[in-house]
Amino acid sequence: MFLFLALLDSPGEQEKFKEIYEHYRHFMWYLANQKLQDEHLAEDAVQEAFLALTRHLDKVEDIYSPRTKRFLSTIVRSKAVDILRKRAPEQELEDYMEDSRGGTDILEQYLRKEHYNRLVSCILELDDRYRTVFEYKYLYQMTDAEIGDILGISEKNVNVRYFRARKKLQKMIREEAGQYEKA
Amino acid sequence: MKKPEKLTRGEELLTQALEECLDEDLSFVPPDREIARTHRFSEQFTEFMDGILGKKAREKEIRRHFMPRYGYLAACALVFCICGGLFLGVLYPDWNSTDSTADGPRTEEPAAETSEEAAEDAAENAVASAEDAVSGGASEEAAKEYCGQTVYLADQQEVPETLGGVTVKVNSPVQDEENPVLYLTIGNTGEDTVEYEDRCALEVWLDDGWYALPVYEEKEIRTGELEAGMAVDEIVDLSSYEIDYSAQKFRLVTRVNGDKIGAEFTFSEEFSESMSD
Repeated sequence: MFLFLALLDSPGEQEKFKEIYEHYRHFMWYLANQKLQDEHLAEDAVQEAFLALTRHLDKVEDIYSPRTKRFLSTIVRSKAVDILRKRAPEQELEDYMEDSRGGTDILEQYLRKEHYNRLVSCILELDDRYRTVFEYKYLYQMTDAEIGDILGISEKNVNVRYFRARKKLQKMIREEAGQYEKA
Repeated sequence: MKKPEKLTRGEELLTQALEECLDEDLSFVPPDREIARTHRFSEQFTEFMDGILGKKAREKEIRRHFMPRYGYLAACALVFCICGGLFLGVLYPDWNSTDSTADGPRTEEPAAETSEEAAEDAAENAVASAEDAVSGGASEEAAKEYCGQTVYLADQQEVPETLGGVTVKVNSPVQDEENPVLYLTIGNTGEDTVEYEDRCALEVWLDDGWYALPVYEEKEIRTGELEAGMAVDEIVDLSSYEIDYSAQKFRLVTRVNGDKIGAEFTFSEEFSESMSD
């Protein structure tokens, strides 16, 4: 706790953090509760999200901008996913080893304008665990180290998750395209 | 946030799609006010966040700064008494003398003062009790028998429904005899955060005034903060009271920023009958 207090030592940061807390805590709790369906676990997720935010407050420029709202939603959703997954420990590294042996990453081929609507519907269907990694990486341009710090996992595991997210999305788009062609 | 690094065309498309999806998801989130109405953060959560916000640390610092050091205070008082005693001893060397002629006038004067003070006190008390009667102050005589219990006149008879920017309403859309509860909704339409007590008192109108109903289970009074533009519900369990549900006026009273505020209500005939059965 003292570490976090120390991180928010400057009055400017304290004020900024307080403003974010006052403005977004209910919003963040709602998102967490949507995922966890448990009021208390949702509060835990919000706490974890705010703790993570103390280390990445520099990512927030305009407190009331849509970008900040999105950023906070990504953090709290990823914390909620963490809580859910703590019940079933992940085997990402092993999965990664298997995945890396089977086939190449050809997602780029599917990312074309003509597939845009399919891409959107696939992202909406994508597991939050993968989607949040994409969001951290592309929407907020965070490095693997920064993402790992927020998620509480190693850089290597961030890379694993990212790799799996790409594979998953690629598979979903391919399946969606197949259904579309059949229709 | 830093500017995006070079992205491929595909990655740009992915970024755009991610943003669109996220905005779509967030568009379903209800306004803060509604979320706050359905959920109140737990004490543990609030304490934890206060910790991060540094409130605790600041409070501790202030307490440490102003904490009276009783040892020092006692030492100061002792020194003051000794100095005072020595000083008076120098000024009035014959103060402790047993000479009765010297004592005479001195004892008469305080006695006269005492009788004057007593007269003033009596006059003040008379005024105070008259004021009490006007404002409806609680007294032992202002008690009635109600539903087999003694109820006392409420200490404040006139309680506003709106105070500053805060309004209270009694809310109970469907009354269920299995679970008879009422909600006192406190809405803050003002511009400042207010402090409210999370316990409210149920009072009943009996002939000449409002009487407070005793509650079976006393609850610890806690205060909460209600931000501007927010509302909160306080739940009142009617099974904690002995109530005659037949046509009577009731009111729920709570405190906002230390001042009483309350709303009147009556029970519907159907509900009164079902509860009487």
